[in-house]
Amino acid sequence: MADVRVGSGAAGPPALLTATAVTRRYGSLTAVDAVDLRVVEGERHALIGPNGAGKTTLLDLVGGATRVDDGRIDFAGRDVTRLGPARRARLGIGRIHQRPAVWSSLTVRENVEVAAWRRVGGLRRVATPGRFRRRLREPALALLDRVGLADLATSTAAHLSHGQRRLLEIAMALANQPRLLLLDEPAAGLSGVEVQRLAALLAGLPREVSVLLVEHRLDLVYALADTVTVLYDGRRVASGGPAEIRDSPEVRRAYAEAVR
Amino acid sequence: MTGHAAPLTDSVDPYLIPALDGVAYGLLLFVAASGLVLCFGVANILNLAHGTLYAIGAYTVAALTDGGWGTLALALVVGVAVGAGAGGLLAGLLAPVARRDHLTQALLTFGVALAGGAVLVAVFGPDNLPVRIPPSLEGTVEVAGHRYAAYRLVFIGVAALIAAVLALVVARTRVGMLVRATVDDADMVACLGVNPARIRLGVLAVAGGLAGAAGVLGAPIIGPAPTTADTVLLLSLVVVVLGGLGSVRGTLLAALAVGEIQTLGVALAPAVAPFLLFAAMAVVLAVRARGLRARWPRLRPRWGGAA
Amino acid sequence: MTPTLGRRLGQAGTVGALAVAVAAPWLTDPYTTSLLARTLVLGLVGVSVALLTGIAGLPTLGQTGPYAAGAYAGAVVGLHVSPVGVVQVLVGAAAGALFGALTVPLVVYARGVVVLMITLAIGELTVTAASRWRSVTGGTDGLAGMPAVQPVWGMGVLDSDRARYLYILIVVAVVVAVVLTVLRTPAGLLLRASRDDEARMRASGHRVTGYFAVAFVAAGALAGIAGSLLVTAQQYVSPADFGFEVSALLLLGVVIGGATSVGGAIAGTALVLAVRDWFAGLLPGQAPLLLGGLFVVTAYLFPRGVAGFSAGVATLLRTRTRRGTARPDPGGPGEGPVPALAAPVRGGRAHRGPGAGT
Repeated sequence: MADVRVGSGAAGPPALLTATAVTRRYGSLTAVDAVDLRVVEGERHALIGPNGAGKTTLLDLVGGATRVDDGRIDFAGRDVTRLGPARRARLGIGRIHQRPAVWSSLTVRENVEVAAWRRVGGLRRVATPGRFRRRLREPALALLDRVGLADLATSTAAHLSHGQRRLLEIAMALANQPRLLLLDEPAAGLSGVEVQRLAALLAGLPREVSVLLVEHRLDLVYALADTVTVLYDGRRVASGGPAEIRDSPEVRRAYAEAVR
Repeated sequence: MTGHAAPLTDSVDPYLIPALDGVAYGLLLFVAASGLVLCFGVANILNLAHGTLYAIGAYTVAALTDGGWGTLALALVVGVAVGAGAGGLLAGLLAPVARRDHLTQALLTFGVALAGGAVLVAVFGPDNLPVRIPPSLEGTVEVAGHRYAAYRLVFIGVAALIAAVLALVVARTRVGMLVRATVDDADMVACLGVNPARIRLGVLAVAGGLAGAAGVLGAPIIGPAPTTADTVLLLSLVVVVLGGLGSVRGTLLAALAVGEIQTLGVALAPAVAPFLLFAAMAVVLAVRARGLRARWPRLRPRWGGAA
Repeated sequence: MTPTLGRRLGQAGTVGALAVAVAAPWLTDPYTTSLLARTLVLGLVGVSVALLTGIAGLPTLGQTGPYAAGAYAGAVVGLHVSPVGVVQVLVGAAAGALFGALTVPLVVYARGVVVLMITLAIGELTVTAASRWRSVTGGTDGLAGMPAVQPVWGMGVLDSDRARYLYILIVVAVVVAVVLTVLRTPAGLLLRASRDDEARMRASGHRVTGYFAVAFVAAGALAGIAGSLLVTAQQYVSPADFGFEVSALLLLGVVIGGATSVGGAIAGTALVLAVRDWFAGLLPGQAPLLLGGLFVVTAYLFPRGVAGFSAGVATLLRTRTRRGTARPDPGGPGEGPVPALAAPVRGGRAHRGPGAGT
């Protein structure tokens, strides 16, 4: 397989995330097959590929929701291969899920507060719960304002629409001040207006936050990403800047085969 | 629980008989628990009426046999049929709530267990019923210098045969393949277009048949009494907890372990015997606390039932 | 109904119920009073069941375990150590918490219906152990002959059904108030969030297993307190108080009461016990049959599953909006946990199959 490598060369900024030959099998199916992946500080890195290519599984492996069968994952200079999702989250890996995951019985604001909990933490949580809650509140409202849900702060999350849940989960992921944000098809199921809001939100993320994005909408990918990695059948087919990837014959072939 | 066969000879090796009893007890539990594993692993139903199905089998044999081989065979056929029928009835009762949560289904089966137990007591009375076995099996046989109840020896043979047949069916047949696939991933099987209502009916009927057979054959060991259903349900549950849902072998090993704990354990250490089952569960689950987590996710409910 | 009106109605109901509860021993005969005392005790166990089943999302049939531990510990203390009620309650709480701490590794990695199964086994094994460990528990004969309880040092002993009832009412009211207060702190928020979506909790860095473990031990302490009060109420304790039927009745009562609500748990438990005792009076010997029927009817009557229904009612009362809170599937592929129990038909996140790596 040809490997188009441009842009994020080894000489660039330090790697935030390095996945080395990670493999995940489900029975006889190898969902992710010895994939290497490198995300540098501040990078917007997109994973594309046809359905069943292993993109979500790769995100799960990075986030810790699924353990690797083989390979190694380093994050911020430390081996996180054996750590669970909660530990990785505390180290700074945030994520949103393909189907928005929010806490339905909590209010919108409470969702963001509970998501920020570990970040604001310390002894304060136990010693002065009232002060602690107040310390959570302001940033939560600010975040909700940023994603456009401030009006709904006191409604129960169960009553949100799909798009609102997606935006809420992004606010929740940001509340934890992640260094790496894993986004699993953020535009899926959103209306046109919501997609625009999402694109603006993602474009406005500070460069302290690196992004690993799985997305089917290639216009979004090409607008946002610095690097694009193409997965096909669990393997990495190509990796490079958006322009190279767009014109790469391997990528076209991979997509064409998937359609056939 | 009826008494354990007392060793009839003075022996330098007093634990052989309890150990053999443990095998008999364990195999009995295996036959009963495998029905529960089926319900749980394939149909995803916690069937709290499973012990009642066993009790039905046990009462059937107590009511039908007069000590002859013919009536024993008749009781086996009737017991299996009634058990399977009761399982099918349960599937019918569960049909209206099939799309709801597990708690509802568990409550329903528990209600059936309560009512069924009350009916059994109303019909057969509140006393432990004696079970007559064919005279040729009433005696004892010589086992390595010990005398051992012939019936139990025969039971061990028959139950081992049932276990072997079950293992073969699960490992080699198309139905067995389907069963393994469902335990692994219910969604996948739902995609194959098999009607879930039929699966439920089939599974509960087969599980009921197994429980009925266990009740008929095991009546001389765990006899028909008002507490039978609870005893069998509890021990089967412990077997399922210990053995997981992964394999016939796991269930068999767990059943034999529970059987030995209940017999050999009591003989070896009567003081701590009440806690041995706890200890076994704790040890097994603690040793693989993570293993358990890896084991159970197979039990993924199909959201929205048939949807 | 506006939320404030709903809350006011709820407050009025609570005050009214408390007033009736206080007046009850003067309105009824001593036998009914002692029945009511036992109902309060089981209501407290019901609170611990609701804490796990509805609020943490771990459906349990095993709270009879710590309940029994607390009861036997309280009885032994009453027999050999001290007639002081506070001591017995604290010992019961400690015994129940210890029981919870010892059994928590068995439970905390499982979810949903598996928890139901494991806790059922734990509860049943406890009864078995209680009936065989004669030297401590008195076996199936049980323990009796405890001296009358003295609530605190220097106070008179409880020598009437009315006094015992009022003592139990006070202890239960205090404990329930503490539970309600704790649930209003962030602790309740974390438990509800863990129930709603565990994967999201982990993705936000929360130690969900730890939260569940704490809740399980706390629920054990509650059941243990109830156990020590049971000994006070009936001055006798035997394995029959902790059978399978008791676990199932508690679960039914909690489910009828709304699963997620502490007050509902007490009310539901009381209702189920009242029905059972009423049946038992009408048709002696037929209680199990009718009770079984009640279970079946309950299962059928709630249109979207009992837990879904009650969650819906709770939402309805809280925000008067459309019914049904989604209980999403927290499971991803691989090591994802078994999803929480009571997912309604609509609104649950579908399970992403292992092959669905997109």
